[in-house]
Amino acid sequence: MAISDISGCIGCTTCVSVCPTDVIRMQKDKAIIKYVEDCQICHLCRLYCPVDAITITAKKSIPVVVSWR
Amino acid sequence: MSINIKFLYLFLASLVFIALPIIFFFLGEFPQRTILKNSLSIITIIAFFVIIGQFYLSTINKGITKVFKTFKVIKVHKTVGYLFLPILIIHPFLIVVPRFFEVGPSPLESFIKMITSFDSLGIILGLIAWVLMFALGFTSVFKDKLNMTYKNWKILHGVLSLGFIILASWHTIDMGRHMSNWMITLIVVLTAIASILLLKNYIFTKKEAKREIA
Repeated sequence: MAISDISGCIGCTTCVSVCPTDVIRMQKDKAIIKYVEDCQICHLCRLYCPVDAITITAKKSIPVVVSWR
Repeated sequence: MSINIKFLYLFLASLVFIALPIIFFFLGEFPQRTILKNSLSIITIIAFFVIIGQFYLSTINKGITKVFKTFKVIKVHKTVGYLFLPILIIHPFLIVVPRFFEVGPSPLESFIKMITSFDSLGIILGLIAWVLMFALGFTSVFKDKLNMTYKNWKILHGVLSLGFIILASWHTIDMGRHMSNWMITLIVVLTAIASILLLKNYIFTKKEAKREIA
């Protein structure tokens, strides 16, 4: 589960400011998912987006850490 | 035979301006959203495409005036405009409706942030299109109270419609929500044909009028 899509972005930069791990960056006037692997699924970007442009889905994006035998 | 042609027109209009956008909406690989958000999106999309359809459902479309009586075309054009334009006028407010049911910024805060995001081209286009659309609705409702001849009002109506449809289409494509390649193609094709139809009608009517005077 992680941030998966930004559509209908109005470029207010709120999500960029609230993301604690800098997953989202601005590209021209739109927010883009730059470092999805850093997403901590805190949902802050989704909650603070004024136009509900951000989707967090059940897609696996954080690699599962497996110990070596 | 005449009924068949009329039925064909209605079928094609329903297919192009209602069914196709809905099909493209559901076929697009958009993220899963709540029923409320999806319903609001579908209502807005249908209203937008029906408003594009207004160009084809008017006297500038000579094909339709051959099949249906002109007064009926005007009547339906008016009714459809009065029904669907308000949906597009309240569409910026509909976007923040889900904020009533979710934690985070309030609907008012969200709305203010949305309309003051001037760094976004899509928002600026949307604001201008909204003003043009409001003027379009206002000048249509209060047509009789405006001190204008019918000819001048028709020109104003055409100019406002053309400005609105070009900017609104650009706005929807730039914002990118629910925009698949199919949806973009449909919007571009319908808007381009509608604009050409309007310009052709206005330019040719003027030339014909000048020829008649000469």
